[in-house]
Amino acid sequence: MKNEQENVGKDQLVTDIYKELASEQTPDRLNERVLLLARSNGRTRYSAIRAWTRPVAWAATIGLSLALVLELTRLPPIAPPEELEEPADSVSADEFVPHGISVLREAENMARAQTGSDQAPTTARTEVGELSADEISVEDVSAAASFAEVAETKLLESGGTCPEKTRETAESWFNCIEQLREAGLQDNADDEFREFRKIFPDFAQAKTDK
Amino acid sequence: MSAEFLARPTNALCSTAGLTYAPTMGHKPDDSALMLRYQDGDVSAFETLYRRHSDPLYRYLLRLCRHRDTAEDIFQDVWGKIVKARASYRPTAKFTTFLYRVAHNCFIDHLRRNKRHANGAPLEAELYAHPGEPPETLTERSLAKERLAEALNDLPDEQRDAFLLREEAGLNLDQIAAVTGSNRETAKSRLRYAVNKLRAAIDEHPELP
Repeated sequence: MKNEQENVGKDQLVTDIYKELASEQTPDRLNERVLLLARSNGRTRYSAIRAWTRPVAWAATIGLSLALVLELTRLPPIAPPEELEEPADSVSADEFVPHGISVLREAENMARAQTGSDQAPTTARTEVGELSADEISVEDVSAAASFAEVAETKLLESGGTCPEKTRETAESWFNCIEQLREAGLQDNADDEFREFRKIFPDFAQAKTDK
Repeated sequence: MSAEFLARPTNALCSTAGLTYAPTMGHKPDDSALMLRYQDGDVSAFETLYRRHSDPLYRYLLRLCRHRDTAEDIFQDVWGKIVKARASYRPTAKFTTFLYRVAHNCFIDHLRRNKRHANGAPLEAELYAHPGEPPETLTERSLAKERLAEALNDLPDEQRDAFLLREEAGLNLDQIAAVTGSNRETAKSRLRYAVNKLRAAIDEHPELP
C-alpha cells in the first residue's frame, strides 16, 4: 500500500512538474492561419442553402404575382352586346305596315278592276296575302305605289266612271268606286254607288256607304 | 465522481443535436455543441473551440514530434482536417478524443513519409532551457523539470504518446486506447512504463518535496 501511495504521489509529482515544464502557447501566426482557414470554409452547404431561402422565396412570390397579373391583363375584355345596325337599305316594317299594305291592296284592286277578275294575279295575291308586315320591303311598297298611280291615271282618262268590266262583279265595281273617292271624284263615286246599289243592294261594305 | 465518468461521452444528449446546441445558463457550451454550431456556419463557435484546445494540442505535438517546424506543420494539418470534416461531424464520441485521434494519425502519416524523426532526433534545447536564468540559481525544481523533459524526450514514441495524451488531452485509458488504435491493457502498460521512467528521472534527487 505504501508503494501504491508513493506511486500515486510520484504520479502526481510527475504531473506537477510536467505542468510547470509545459507552458508553451500556440504562436500567433499559427492561430491566424487556422482561423482564416475556418472563416473561409465557415459557410456550409446547408447554411449556404439556408441563406438563399428567403431571397428565393421573395423572388418566387414576386414572379408568380407578375405572371398572374400579366395573364389577367391579356384576357380579352368582355364585349358589350352588339348593337344591331339596320341595313342602310332596309326600312322598318312597323313604319310601313299600314300604308304599305294599303297601297298594295289598292294596287291589287286596280289590277283586278282592269282585268275584270275577282282574283288578283296569284303571284301578287300570294305575295300580298302571305307576306307579313315584317317581310314587306321598300321595293314592294314602291312597286305597289307606282302601280296605283297608273291605275288612278287610267280612271281619270275614262271620265271618272268605272269601266264596264269592273261592273260585272260587286267587288270590282265597289273597288272602282273606292278608287274614284280616293282620286277625289266624289260626285262620280256617288253616282256610281247609286247605280251599284240598284244592282247589288245586299253587298256588305258599311264603311264606305254614303 | 471519477474522471472516467466525467469523460464518458454523453451520447444520449449528443444524439439529439437540439439539446446540445442550446447553451445552458451559466455553463460553457461543450465541444460537440460548438462543433455543431460551426457545422451550421457559426464561425465564432469554432473560434471558441479552437481557443480551448489549441495550446494543449500544440504542446502535445511539440513533444511528440520533438521538432518545432514539424509540430507546426502537423498542427495546421490537424485543424485543416477538422474544418473540412465539419459537414460530416457526428457527436458520437468526445470531441477531444476525435481531435487527438486526428492528430495522432497525422503524426503517424508524417513518420511514414519522413523516417528521420523515427530515428529519435534530439529535442531542441530551447524546449527545456531556462532563458534569462543563470545556472547557479537553478533550483532543484528547475533541474527536475530539465531531467523530466530529457527523460520524456527519450521515451519511445508510443509511451510518450500515451503520457502526453493523459497530461495534455486529459484522456482516460479507454480514450487513449481509442486514439492510438490499441486496447486498454496496452494503453495502460505504455502509460505505466512512461510514468515509471519519468519518475525514475525525478527520483535521481530524492530531496524533492
